[in-house]
Amino acid sequence: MAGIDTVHDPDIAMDPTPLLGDQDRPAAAVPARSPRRRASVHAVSVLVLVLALAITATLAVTSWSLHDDNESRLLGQRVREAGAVLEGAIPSSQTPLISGAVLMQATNANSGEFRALMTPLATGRPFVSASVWPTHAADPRPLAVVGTAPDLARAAVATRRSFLEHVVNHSGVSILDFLDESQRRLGYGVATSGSARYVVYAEVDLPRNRRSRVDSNAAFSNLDYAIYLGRAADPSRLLAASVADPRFNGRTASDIVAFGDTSLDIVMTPRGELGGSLLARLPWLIGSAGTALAIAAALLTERLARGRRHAEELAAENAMLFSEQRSVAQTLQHSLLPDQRPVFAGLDLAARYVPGVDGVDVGGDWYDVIDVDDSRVMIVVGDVSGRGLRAATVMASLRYATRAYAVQGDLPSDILTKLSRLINVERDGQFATVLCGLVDVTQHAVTFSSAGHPRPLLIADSGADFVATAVGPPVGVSGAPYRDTTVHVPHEGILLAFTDGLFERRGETIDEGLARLREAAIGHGVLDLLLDELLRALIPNGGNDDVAALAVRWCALTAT
Amino acid sequence: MVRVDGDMSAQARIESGPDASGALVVNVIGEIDISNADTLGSALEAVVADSTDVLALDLSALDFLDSSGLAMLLRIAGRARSVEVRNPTNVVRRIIEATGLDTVLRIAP
Repeated sequence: MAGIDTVHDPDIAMDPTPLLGDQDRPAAAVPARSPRRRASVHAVSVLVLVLALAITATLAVTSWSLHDDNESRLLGQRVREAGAVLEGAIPSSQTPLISGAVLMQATNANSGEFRALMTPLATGRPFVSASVWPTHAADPRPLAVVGTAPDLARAAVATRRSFLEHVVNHSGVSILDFLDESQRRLGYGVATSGSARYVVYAEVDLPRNRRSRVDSNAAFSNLDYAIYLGRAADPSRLLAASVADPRFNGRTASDIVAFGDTSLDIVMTPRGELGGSLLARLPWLIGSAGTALAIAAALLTERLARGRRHAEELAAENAMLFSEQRSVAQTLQHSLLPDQRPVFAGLDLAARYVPGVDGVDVGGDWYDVIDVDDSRVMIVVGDVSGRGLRAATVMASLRYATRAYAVQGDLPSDILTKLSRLINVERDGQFATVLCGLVDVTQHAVTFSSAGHPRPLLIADSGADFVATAVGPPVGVSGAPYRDTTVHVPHEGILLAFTDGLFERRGETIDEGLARLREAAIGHGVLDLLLDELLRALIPNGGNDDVAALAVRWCALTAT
Repeated sequence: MVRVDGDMSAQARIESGPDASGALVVNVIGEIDISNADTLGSALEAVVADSTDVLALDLSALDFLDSSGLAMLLRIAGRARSVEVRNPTNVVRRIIEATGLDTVLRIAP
């Protein structure tokens, strides 16, 4: 439809338009337009950003915490594995000593036997020295030595005696450490039982620089370790490590394995990510992706919010412009329509104008009653094609032109001819159907001319019939000339002029609608009741089209 | 073929082409009311040139025509030197006749 496309937002209150009775009021004043607010970020966008960042942070922290737990768990596993490996290696160095102890006890420390047993073992690997000692000597000295001289031989007599006593009282291997010497050594002592007469003793060299890498063992290649003698990570009791400075920062785990009468404490730290780099990078991935998404989401929200605000502003403007247009059109139309009860001496008149329920636009229907002289009045009913302001303005032009021609005494056919020069359907895109009737009170006659307009209905006692008026083309369409038809109206007769909104229905011919109108009109004598009854019967729920209807009858001159 | 949909309920489409006698036959199919009269009018302007000699409006498939549609058809008809209406439905025929338009929109026998 012609006009502005509107967006109806029920939240926007529309300016109440002037209705009948407010015809003197000028067209609705234009309220000040709301200024466009610029560039303040919407709260919802900030909320989206904060929320998304919070979620990202939570996910990142959770994944980091999972990673952390995983690393600790894996490290713990590795350390225990290393401890198990270590534990498994220990007996290989200790078992031959136990065999040696049994042999010495049985052979009474036969040095030949001792040498035969120990020589393969005491020339460097695993031992650098092996010796057999008496258990109850005041100044214990080795009875036989294989390999280098044992450090124990150089120890103080008290040390030697207490160690040998300890070995005898302790089943299993007893450990003696020489960690303060420049060449650090560990000593292992074994006796067969509490009543043993001999102790078999061996020493191993510890690596000088305490460094030994675990090579080509894939399971431990990404770990650094330090092995301490005893149950604690005491730097003075470090036996071996994979790095020069075994004071590990960061994540460590340790395992303690039995080592003779003492323990070994193995401490390990990872050199990289045990669980693989993905899990380690995951928190950062989540963090950066999440932050990027959060910003994108916030920007999108902001854009949508701005778009919405813009659309709302636009809708508000549209609604205001639309209601302005409508109120102008309605003011125009309502101010144009005359009374529902026009008065003319000798005539009983009643009229109705009912706008279509479609109701968004005003229509182009009108009626008019124009005094020509003391005994004649011109009744007019018209219908401009289309709707809206265009139809209403054309209607206004035609209505006032008709008044001008009528008061000059023009016949209906002349009026229509002149009206037809005012508009042109090919140029203006609109036409109008018009019925003019010149009512002569003294003659009880009416002279009609129709420009495309439905013929009027004459309701008499005998029934109702349409007046045989000649129908010319609508005003604005060039063609055949207009003709007048004069009709004598009986005393009790009622003339009804109307527009097609009263009888037309979609899907049927106009003849069917006119027949229905005719049936409904019979039997009503009072004009107002006639009109109301017709509206009730024919368009009970309101029609899409406007309706204008005018009813006329003679009345005694003495009536008011 | 041009399809024109109104924003409410009326829908119409046009088919056109010359016939054996050289007249431009325009077939209007569907319904014309105020919701699509303007857009259909623009479509018809493209089809019916100002220089058209004989315009034949085939309204056999036109189911509804209100005053806006009628005004638009009259406007388009003015672009041709002569106009005839072919096979209007009964409803449309009676509208043309009762509105005194049968001299302008001649209904072909």
